[in-house]
Amino acid sequence: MRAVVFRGRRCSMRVGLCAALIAAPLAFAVDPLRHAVESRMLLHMLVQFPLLLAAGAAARLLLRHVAPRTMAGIDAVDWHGLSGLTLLSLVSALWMVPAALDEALLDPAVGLLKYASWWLSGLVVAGSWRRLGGPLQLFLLGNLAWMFATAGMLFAATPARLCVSYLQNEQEWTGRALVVLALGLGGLLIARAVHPDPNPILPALNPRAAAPAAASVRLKRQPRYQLLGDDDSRPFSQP
Amino acid sequence: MTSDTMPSRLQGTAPSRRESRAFVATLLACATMLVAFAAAAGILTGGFQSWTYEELRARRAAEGVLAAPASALRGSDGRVLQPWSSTAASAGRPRVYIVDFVFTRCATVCLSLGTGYQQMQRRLQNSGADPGVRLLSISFDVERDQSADLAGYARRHAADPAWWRVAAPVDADQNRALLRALGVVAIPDGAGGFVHNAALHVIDAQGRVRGLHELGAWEGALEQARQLAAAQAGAQ
Repeated sequence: MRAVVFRGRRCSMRVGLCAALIAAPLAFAVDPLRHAVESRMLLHMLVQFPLLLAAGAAARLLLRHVAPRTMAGIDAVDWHGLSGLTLLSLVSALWMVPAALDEALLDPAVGLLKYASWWLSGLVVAGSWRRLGGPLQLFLLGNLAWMFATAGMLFAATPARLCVSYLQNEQEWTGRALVVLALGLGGLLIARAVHPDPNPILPALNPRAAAPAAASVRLKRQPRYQLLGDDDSRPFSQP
Repeated sequence: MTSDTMPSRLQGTAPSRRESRAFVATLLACATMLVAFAAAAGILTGGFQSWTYEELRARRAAEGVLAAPASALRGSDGRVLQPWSSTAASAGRPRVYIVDFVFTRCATVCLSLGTGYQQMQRRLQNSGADPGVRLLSISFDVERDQSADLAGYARRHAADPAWWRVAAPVDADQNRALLRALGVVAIPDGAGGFVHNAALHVIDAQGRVRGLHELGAWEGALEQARQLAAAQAGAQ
């Protein structure tokens, strides 16, 4: 009983955090806020992109209840997490290109593509993460670290402005920050490689790792499906 | 939450059939994503050729798809100037303009721009017959740069109004439209001024950008403008 109360409080905190993350992209619909973030290269690449990714991942928890079949459909084409791995790698690569960064600010359609692609990557890869398993998780992290380091060193070392929307000293700082991020990802990769924990990196997305009693999770979840009028209580990943 | 993250081999019956179906579907999904990525990256980089916006702009100019809208500019003397128009029937003799973008308080890159313009002006003054080429410095700082500021800039650089006009769009909307169409981006430099992608734009009588030249390469810009002007005069 005490465990249930404890779990209930923990869950509500997580729900609050997720609600905030889910709503976060709406802030970018407000012109001054969007401009404040996007007019700085560092904030654009290292705050907005991760925030959109996290918002997509958090939206997964909501969409699981709102659109369970869509989520099941996404998961059904994500064999061993390969779709999530592919999507996140491609989206990260695309938005490292200086011309793409400029176009995202100058052309509203490209801007929309940027928001949608990062958000969708978060949505998909949050489900893929556990399916990927150890070696592929390491591959994804290594791939991202390598990409950020390359782009970062290029940004930091180029003696001219690469983006018409950003000053050169900002470009240099963003480059350095990308290298630091790459080093951080490399550190995570090593930690993940030596640590047996199935999911030390995204614990919020993996409540089973935090709560060993999986049965209590099921007890808590099942009535909610019925409340939403979903008579299908089978696991989502089963078509 | 409990099951969708569970490895599929632990779920349900007939795992091999479902596994292979999921495998094929995933392969298709990944192939689709690769194609979409290649398409998006190809469009955003002009066919994987240009990795920066400035390179893209130069390519668009070379392809003849970079064009300025018909713009009304107020000159340093207060008169309104319409340097180009998309309709063929423009009054007077068609001219080719070599255009740069400035703000009159600028003390860095604009100085070197000014020197290049002075040298071009001298060449034009000494060219005998009118080559049909004019120089135009457009201020994008329309709020701040009034006619007196424009006149001061012209005076500082010894601009001869017969060859070199200093002007600004008549209002903020026209300014935005002009900058947006040409892909000129001016951002605050943090010290009260601006940083912008500076270049010499060779613009024909219809407003099409026919060439983008680096600031130092004014001789190439002038030569291209002369040839264009001669061709336009021949076509009339």
